[in-house]
Amino acid sequence: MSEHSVTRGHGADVEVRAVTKRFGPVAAVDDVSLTVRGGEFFSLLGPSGCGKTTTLRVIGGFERTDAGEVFIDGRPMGQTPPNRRPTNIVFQRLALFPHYTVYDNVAFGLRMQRLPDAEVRRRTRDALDLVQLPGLENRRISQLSGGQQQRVALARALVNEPRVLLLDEPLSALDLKLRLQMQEELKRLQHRLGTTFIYVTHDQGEALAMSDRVGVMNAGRLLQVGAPMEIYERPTNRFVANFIGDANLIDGIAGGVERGRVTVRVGGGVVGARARGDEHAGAPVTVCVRPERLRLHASGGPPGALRARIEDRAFSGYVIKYRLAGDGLRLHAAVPYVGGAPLFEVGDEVTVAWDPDQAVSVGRE
Amino acid sequence: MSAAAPAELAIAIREARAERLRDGALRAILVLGVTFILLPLAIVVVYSFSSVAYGVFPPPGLSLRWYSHLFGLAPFRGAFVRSVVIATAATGVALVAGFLCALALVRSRFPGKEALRGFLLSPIVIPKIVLGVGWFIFFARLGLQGGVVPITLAHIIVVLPFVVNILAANLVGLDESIEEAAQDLGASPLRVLWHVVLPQIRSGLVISGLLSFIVSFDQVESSIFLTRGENNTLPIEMFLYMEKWQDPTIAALSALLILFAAAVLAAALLVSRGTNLRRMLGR
Repeated sequence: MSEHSVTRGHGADVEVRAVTKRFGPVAAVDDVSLTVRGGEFFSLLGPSGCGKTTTLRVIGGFERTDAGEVFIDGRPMGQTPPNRRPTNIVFQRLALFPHYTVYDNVAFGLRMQRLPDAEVRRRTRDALDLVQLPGLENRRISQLSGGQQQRVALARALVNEPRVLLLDEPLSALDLKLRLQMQEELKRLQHRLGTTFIYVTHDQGEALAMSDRVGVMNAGRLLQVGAPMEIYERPTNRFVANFIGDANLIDGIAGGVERGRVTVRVGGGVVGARARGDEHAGAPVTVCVRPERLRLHASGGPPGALRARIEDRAFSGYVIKYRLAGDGLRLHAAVPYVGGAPLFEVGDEVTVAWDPDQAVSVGRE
Repeated sequence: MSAAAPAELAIAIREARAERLRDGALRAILVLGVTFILLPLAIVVVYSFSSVAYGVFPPPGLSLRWYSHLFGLAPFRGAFVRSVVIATAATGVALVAGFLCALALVRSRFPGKEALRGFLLSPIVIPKIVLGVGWFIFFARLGLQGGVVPITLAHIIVVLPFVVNILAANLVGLDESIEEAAQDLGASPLRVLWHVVLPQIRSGLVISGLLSFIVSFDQVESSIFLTRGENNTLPIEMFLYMEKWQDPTIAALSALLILFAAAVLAAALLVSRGTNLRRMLGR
């Protein structure tokens, strides 16, 4: 592959400060603040309609804000239009120019800068190499597969060497296999170029696998920002706990809080979890435990363990998934499958427990 | 084979026959329709080569005398040039104004938008002769006794609805995120228009331009009150000639106009190579 002109290590910091964007009476983005570091791969994750795309469009300059400000490398963007921001965007629907060839699509941004022909040619070729699309320069967009169109959209944005690349669910139209492959490629590209990537997705798997940090949004609000593992381990509220991975959310009454742990009374048992810090004795709390953290015992188990009955069992390769009910609770457990090990049968009475360090209190809202 | 087989075969044969019949009938209707449209034109063309001055068909002999007679008539030459100039100017202005109107109707939200849409389309339903009388009075008040400029202004209004309608239909189909992408890639709003919007509605521009030109070129009722003898448009010159003479000169002129129309259409096809127009007109 040729020497690429796309230089690395020039990703810009992006700060969104107290931004609100209303459509009529509805706040699509509601007082959102977040900071993305230069060169970071940051994902905005949330269900459809949560405001993640609007936030991205605010950063790109496509939406006027009702309040707040966007800073790129410390410079306030104000109402700077998209064509004068150091950002480029890859749209969900790609929005390739249907009346242009692949080459003309990718060269568009360079031509808009009125660069000399030779440079346009060199950088366009480089960008097509970068996304592994050489040889298709003269194709029409309609003659490309979904994956190829995806790459053209990426090349068309990257050829301008943006300091921030905004991606709005760019892989959602691809089938699973191609999506996984493109995820890896995007991550590799981002690492190589050092461009700040802000990636919008509703797919938590995608966000967790690709991002340095993830911001989870719902109903216009940014609920939690953190590294993927941190969000998985320490969701700060019910919504995040539920949206990221599978979660058992168990309602109970807080007992004592001691050394970062809270004891919680649930039905007939007493369980433990890491405290969030705002629990106090006698108040309702919710505990989040991941299915793979539950320990099932045929009998006995630690003191205070919950009692439940196996309702259903499903084999899915490397884990056995149990559905349990008891003590007024419905629980999911995922137990690693080891060939030949004894399994629980539907109808078996078991006790359920977990290491308090493997569970977390997520408040009640 | 089961006993039902012969019955099924009979049904299949009957269906095939019905289909053949239907195809035949459709083809006959098509030929009839096309003949109905083309026959008068064919008669005009044949008549234009007549060797005699009186209206008889088929002509007793063939000659080019009416063509040479036509070329000797200066008023027709002047009127043709005037009509082309007026149609070109009216089309040009209507394309620009109509595009902007269509853009506003499709992309903007403002109170009274539907009323404006109706108003812009109203010249189609108002009788042209009424418009003609109105303009006559209007321009007279302005001290303009008719002439090329008033006629052009009048024609712009007559052709505007076609442009607005066709271009609005084109614009509705555009994906706005494509324009956002262009802007994101550094294009100013004007360059977005030039590089992204206009190329995508090229076929609409060609079709509505063609239609405007033809409609303007063809105007009689709306022009007749605005001409002053020395600046007649071609249709009016033809109309006046026919009032005085019934020789085949007008047929010769009509034959040339058919040729002219074919040339304009061919040029339009050439311009719109690879666009929808080509597909719409059956390549």
